[in-house]
Formats: sequence, structure tokens, C-alpha cells
Amino acid sequence: MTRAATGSALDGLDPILNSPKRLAVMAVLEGSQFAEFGFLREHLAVSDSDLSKQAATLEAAGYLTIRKSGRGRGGLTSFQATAAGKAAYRRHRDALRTMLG
Amino acid sequence: MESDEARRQLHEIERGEAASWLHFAGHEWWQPLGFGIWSAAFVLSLGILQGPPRSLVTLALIAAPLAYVRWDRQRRAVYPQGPMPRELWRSTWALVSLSIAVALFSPSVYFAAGAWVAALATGLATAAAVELYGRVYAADAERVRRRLA
Repeated sequence: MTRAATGSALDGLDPILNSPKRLAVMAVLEGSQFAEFGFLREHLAVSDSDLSKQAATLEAAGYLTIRKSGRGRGGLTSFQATAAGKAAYRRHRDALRTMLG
Repeated sequence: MESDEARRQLHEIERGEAASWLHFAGHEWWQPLGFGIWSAAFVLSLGILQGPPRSLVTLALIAAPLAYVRWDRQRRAVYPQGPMPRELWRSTWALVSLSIAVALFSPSVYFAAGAWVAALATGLATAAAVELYGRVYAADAERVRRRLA
């Protein structure tokens, strides 16, 4: 791979998605219309607070929206990727693939 | 970024994108029964009813799967979209083939033996097809899990 090709591939890498947990959240949302909190927590094998923290970072970046329905213990929290989030995720994924040829 | 790190991230990406599809593996006991009853009712509505009652019942039976998908989407923790893992294409083709087989089988029984026998045969064939599809999907999902483990 040439230096120029490597350089342009690295341009697509997103610093927010360099975190494995945040990348995993966006990967699940890329393949889903939505995902609930509990599903993501199990998939990532993380604690509630850790997932909340990662989701808040992605929400602040405009990469996902958080929807809450109901209240208390029976309430549900679900996540959906935004168009900007999907675009950033796909750029990151394409950059990784380019890097590995 | 090192190649190993890029490879690890791509593996996580594949695992994440497949997660919602794997969630669908493992059908519930009532699904073959429900689809069997639905298809039998469909055959009966076309074979026995006439005029407006037939139109109304047929429309209701066409709307039922749409309502089912809507309800199914609400009860699940995740709902897939986009490209499925390549291993699951086998079960998709199985579903298409089985649907065509039932669609060809049903009218031939109807013309040979009448509406009631066709309804029973179609119901049983549909239930068997849904059960088989569920098993093939589960087996394919297991292959995806092994690849991404």
C-alpha cells in the first residue's frame, strides 16, 4: 500500500469510534433498526453505567438518538443510529478495510 | 493504527452487524401453528366464501401478517436491517423455495379434493415449512456464531 493510500485511509478513521465499545454499539445499530439498552449491554458485556457513558458520548457527537418509553423499572431505553452516525461509522469501517487491503 | 488493531476492530464490526440477525434464531412453538392456521383460513376464505364476505375476510387475512410484523417489531429488543451474514442466505433460499412449494401444492390439492382438504393440507404444509425454516435458520446462525467467536 502506498503512503498516500494509507494516509487517505487513515483520514476516514473516526477518533470517537476508535473506542472498541463505542464501535461495537455503532456496529450493532448499523445492522438494526433499533436496539434496546439490555440487548446492547449483553452484547458488549459491560455494566449499565459504562453503556450509559458510551451512549452519552455517541449522542453528544450526534451519532445516535436515545429513546425512553415508560418509567421506573419497567421503562425501556432504546437506541437508533442517526444518518450522521451511520456515515461516520461506514467511513471508519471502509478506512479499516482499506488499511488491511 | 497497527494492523492487528484494525483486524480486531473489523472483527468487532462483523460481530456487531450480525448481532440482530442472530437474535432471530430460535423460533417459538406457536409460530408454525399460527402460520398454519393462517394459511388454512386463507384457503377456506377463497374456497368457501363468496362475494363481499370473501373480500372482507381475505383482506383481513392479508392485513394479519402486516399486523404480526408490527407486533413482532415492538416485542423484540432489536430488529435487523441491512445485509445479513452470508451464512443466513441458505435459510432465506429455503424460505423462498418452501413458500413457492406450498403455493403450488395448495391449489393442486384444492382442485383435486376440495376446499376443506386443501385447507387442512395447506395448514399442515405451512406449519412444517415454518418449522423447517426455523431449524435451518438456527443452524445457519450457529455457523455465524462459530465464525465470529
